[in-house]
Amino acid sequence: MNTLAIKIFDFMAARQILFCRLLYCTLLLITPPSLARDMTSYAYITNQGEDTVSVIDTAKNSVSLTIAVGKGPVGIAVSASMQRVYIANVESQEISVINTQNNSVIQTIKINGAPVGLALSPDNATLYVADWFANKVLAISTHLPTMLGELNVGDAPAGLAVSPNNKWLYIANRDSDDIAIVDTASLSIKKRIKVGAHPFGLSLSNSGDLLVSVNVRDDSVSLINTKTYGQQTIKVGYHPYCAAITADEKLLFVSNTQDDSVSVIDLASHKIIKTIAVGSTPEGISMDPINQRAYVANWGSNNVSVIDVNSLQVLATIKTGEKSRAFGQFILLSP
Amino acid sequence: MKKILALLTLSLSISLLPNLASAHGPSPQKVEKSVTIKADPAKVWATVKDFGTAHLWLPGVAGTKLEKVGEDTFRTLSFKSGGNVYEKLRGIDNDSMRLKYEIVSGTLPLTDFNGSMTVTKGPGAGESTVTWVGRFYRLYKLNPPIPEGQDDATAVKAINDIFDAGLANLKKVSETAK
Repeated sequence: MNTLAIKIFDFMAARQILFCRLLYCTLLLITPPSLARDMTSYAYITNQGEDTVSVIDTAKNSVSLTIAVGKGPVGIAVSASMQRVYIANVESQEISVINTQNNSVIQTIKINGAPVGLALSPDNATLYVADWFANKVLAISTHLPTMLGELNVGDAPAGLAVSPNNKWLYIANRDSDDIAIVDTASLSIKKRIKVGAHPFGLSLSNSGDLLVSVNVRDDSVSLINTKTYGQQTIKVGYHPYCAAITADEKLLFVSNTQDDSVSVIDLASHKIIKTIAVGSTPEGISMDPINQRAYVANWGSNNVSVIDVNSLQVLATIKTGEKSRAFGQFILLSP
Repeated sequence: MKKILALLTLSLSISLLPNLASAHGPSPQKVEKSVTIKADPAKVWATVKDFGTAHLWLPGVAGTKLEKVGEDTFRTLSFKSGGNVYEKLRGIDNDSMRLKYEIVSGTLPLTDFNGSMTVTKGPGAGESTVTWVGRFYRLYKLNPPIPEGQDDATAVKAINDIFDAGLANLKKVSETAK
């Protein structure tokens, strides 16, 4: 608890989350797949330079709301079932918790460190926070919230991902050039995998079989088989940051910060099939499975590029806020 | 000009501090500056893309040393006030009239600098617009409190001063040269 102080202790919120989760599960059970198009999705974009989050309504591809958060927001994690969005404010050393029903900040969790990357466990019970400077990853209960534990990892932990079976937490350690595989039950490192220089973003396929690390200094991505830990390296553009895999696990999209582009890789042939020009200095990238689009946050041009994953064309460019980053899985599905 | 000299002296003293960690700061900083020059874009681009002659238009720079290492091109800018910066050319695109470079090492109070200079036509006939963009991090690489002189503001000011003085003089040199 010494590294975590809770500003607001909200029991009502916990009860509400539980109710929402039950409601969401019920909706999923009774909703046939053909009605998935009736769902909507929202992109939550962190704007480092103006301490805000832009909420993009993907049906209109426009910003519907801007939310004030802490200083230097970078990392993000979303939970459809809890109707929550978590924002890592690295400069004010805190996590903002947003209730997505009314898009208001309902809690602020103080972190004695530099929170960058965030990820939620598939059951939404645990929020993992990468502390960039202290070389730690914190595990926080989303219910109260309370500190569940922390572990020392490699140097400058950044991207995080949790396996769909909730057994493994993957951590990209930027300055030790490896991925740590953590047993979530014991919160201990099971294995470390060497990848290219300076891994930053991580993307895990829906099945959990493919893990992608984006290696900034190496201008490459490492495709890691999570069953065998075998890996393949593919060269992409200059200083890549983040990646996202399509829902059908056929294509991989990688943002190249210093090339102002997105590389599209065919996951069967491992070839780059297209390089798409986007805004300036693209960082965060996430898939919207409902509209089959990739959303890319452009730090340099303060906007978001929307790419159709079928035609591989840019459909829209949406003005957001100063220095958009959106580091993490930032698309929220809403029933 | 005096500001730049003072800044370069300051940055030299900062660079003597031990490097405690290798991770850069968590939040990249951005400086973007533009100037309109009453000169033909092709002429201005010729000046901008000549990576080895920056001292001819960049104030405070005593000399530029150009080096080839394999296929890569590097330059060292020596500051009149002492100190230097070692830069790598990332690319010259004649079609879009854009030069990209990065700082490998040096005495400026910042790290991990990536920059570009772009020349565009207009806004008026026979005019050029030069846009200089830099992305970089503060010098301090650990958790707060951040020491004075190693913070975001110091890094941003260093680049602001160089870009402002550089673009003003690039305009002057381009508009007076025949």
